[in-house]
Amino acid sequence: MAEKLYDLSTPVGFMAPDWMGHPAWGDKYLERVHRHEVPFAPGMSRRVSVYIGLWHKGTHFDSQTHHVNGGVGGGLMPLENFYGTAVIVDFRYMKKWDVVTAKDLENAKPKIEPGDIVIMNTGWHRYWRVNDYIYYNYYPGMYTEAGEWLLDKKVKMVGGTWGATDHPLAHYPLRLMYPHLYEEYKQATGKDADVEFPDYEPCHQICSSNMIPAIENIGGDVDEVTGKRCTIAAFPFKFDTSGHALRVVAITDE
Amino acid sequence: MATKIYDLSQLFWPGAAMWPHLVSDIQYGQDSFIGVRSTGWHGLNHPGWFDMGGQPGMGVPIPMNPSIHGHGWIGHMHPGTHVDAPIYLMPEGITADKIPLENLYGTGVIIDMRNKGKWDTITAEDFEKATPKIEAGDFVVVNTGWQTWLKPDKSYEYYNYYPGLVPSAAEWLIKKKVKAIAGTWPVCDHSLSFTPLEKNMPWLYNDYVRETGKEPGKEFSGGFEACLTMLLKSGITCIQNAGGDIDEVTGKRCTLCAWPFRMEETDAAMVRLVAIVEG
Repeated sequence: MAEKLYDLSTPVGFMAPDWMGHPAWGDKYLERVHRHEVPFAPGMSRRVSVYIGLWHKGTHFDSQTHHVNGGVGGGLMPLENFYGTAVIVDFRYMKKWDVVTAKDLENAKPKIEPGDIVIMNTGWHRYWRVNDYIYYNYYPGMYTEAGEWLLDKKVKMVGGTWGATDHPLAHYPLRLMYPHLYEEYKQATGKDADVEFPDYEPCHQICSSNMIPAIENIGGDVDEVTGKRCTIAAFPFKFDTSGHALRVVAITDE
Repeated sequence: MATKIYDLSQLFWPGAAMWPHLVSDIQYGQDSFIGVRSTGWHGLNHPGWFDMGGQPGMGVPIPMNPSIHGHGWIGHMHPGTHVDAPIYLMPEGITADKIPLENLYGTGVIIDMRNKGKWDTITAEDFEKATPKIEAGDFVVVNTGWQTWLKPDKSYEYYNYYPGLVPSAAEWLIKKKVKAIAGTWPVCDHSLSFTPLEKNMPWLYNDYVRETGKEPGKEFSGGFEACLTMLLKSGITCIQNAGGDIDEVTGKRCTLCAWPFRMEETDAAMVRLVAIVEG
C-alpha cells in the first residue's frame, strides 16, 4: 500500500472571492519588492513579494482568538487538533441555503466517530472563482443544532466547502449586517432571516470556545476523497494570529 | 501507543528577529511595516473593521457576540519557519503553492550537528557520517542548536554567526536525491556566503576580517546563496528557521511534514514543520 496525498485547499490569487464583510484593502495581495528583472548584482536576482491582506482568505481556519477575547492564536493551539483520522462526508445533495441538521450529521457516511476530524463536502467549491456571489451568499451551511451536535460528538476539527463555518443567513442582525441578503431571502421565501436565524455565528462561537479548529473554504480535490475515511494533516504556521491560511491535505492508503 | 507530534517551528510575532541580509532589505524594512495588522479588535463591538468605510456590516451591534478579532498581514513570506520556492532565486522557477505535496511530506531524519559553532561549515563529510544514515528520498532536518539564538536580543548572533551549508554539502544532498532539507538556520547557505559580502553585509565582513584576519570572499567563494540555488534547481524543498522542540527528536527517523498554504505566485510561504512519531 502506498500513501497518496490529496490537496483539499482552494487556490487563492488575485481577485479571489472574499467574505462580504471583509475590508477592501484585503485585495492588495502581493507586491514585489525584489524582481528578477532588476538584478541586485550582475547575474543575481530574486523575487520577494509582500502580502497585504487578511489571513481569513481562501482555505483557512479561525483560531480561538478570532471569537474569544483572550483566546490564543492559531499557531499556539495544540498541534494534535490539526492531525488525525478524518471523515469526508458527502453533503453534495444540499442546495442553496440548506441548513445542515443533526440528522444530516447522524446519517453521514462514513459515520462520524468521537475524536474525528470532520470535513463536510457540500459541493459549493464548484463556485469558487466561478460565481463569487453564489459562493458566499447561497452556500448550504451549519447553524446552532449542527454545532452542538459536533461538540457533543467531541470532534477534533471541522471543515467545509463553504464560505464560513456558519450559514450565510446566520449573521444576526442580518437586516443590518448584510441587507442585500436579508432582502433577497425575504423576497424569495417570504421569511424573516432574523427570526429564522436569531443566533449570530453560533458554530464559530462553539468551535472557538472549545478549541475546535474550524476550516472554511475547503475545495481542491475534495471530491476525490469524499465518502472516505482518511488522515488529515493541516498544520498552521506558527503565528499568534486570529486566522491562518491553511493547506489541508488528505492522506490515504491505497 | 499514540502518535506524537513534535513542533519543529519557531514562533513568529511582529517583534521577532528578521533576516538582515541585503542592505536593500533593511531600507525596505525601515519604510514598511512588517507584521500583524489587526482589522477588528475585542475592545470594539463587532465587526470594528478598521478602514472599512461603506462595507456591509460596519458598526452593527451584535448582542450575542461582543467582538471579533481579525488579523491581516503586511510583510513578505520569509519570516520564521518557511519554505523557499524556486522562483525566489530563479525567474523560471515554480511558486510555493506549486511545490508537489509529496516533496513536503515523508520519512526522514533529524540529524545532530549541535557540535557546530560560530561560522563552522557543514560539509559533504558531515552528511556522509550523519546518524541516522541519510537515505535517498529522505526529508533531512539538521539541528545545529542555533535556534536558541533566534530571539530579538540575540538576533545578531543568529543571523550572522550561524554554521551553514557549503557547496560540497549541497552537492552531496543532490547526489543522494534527498526530498527536502530543513535546518536551524536562516537559510540553506553559510552565513558568510553572501558574496560580495563587503557590499551586501559590510558589518559581517568587518566582523570576520577583524576576528580571523581572513578574507571571506576567498574562504567562501561559492557565490551568492550558492547552495540554495543548487538545491532549488534540483527540486529539493528548502526550509529555513527550523527550531521549536527539535532537540526532543534529534537523532530519530520519523515522518516530517511542512505544507505551505495554497496562495498563488508566492516566492515563499511560512510553514509548520512537524515531526510525526508513530507510537
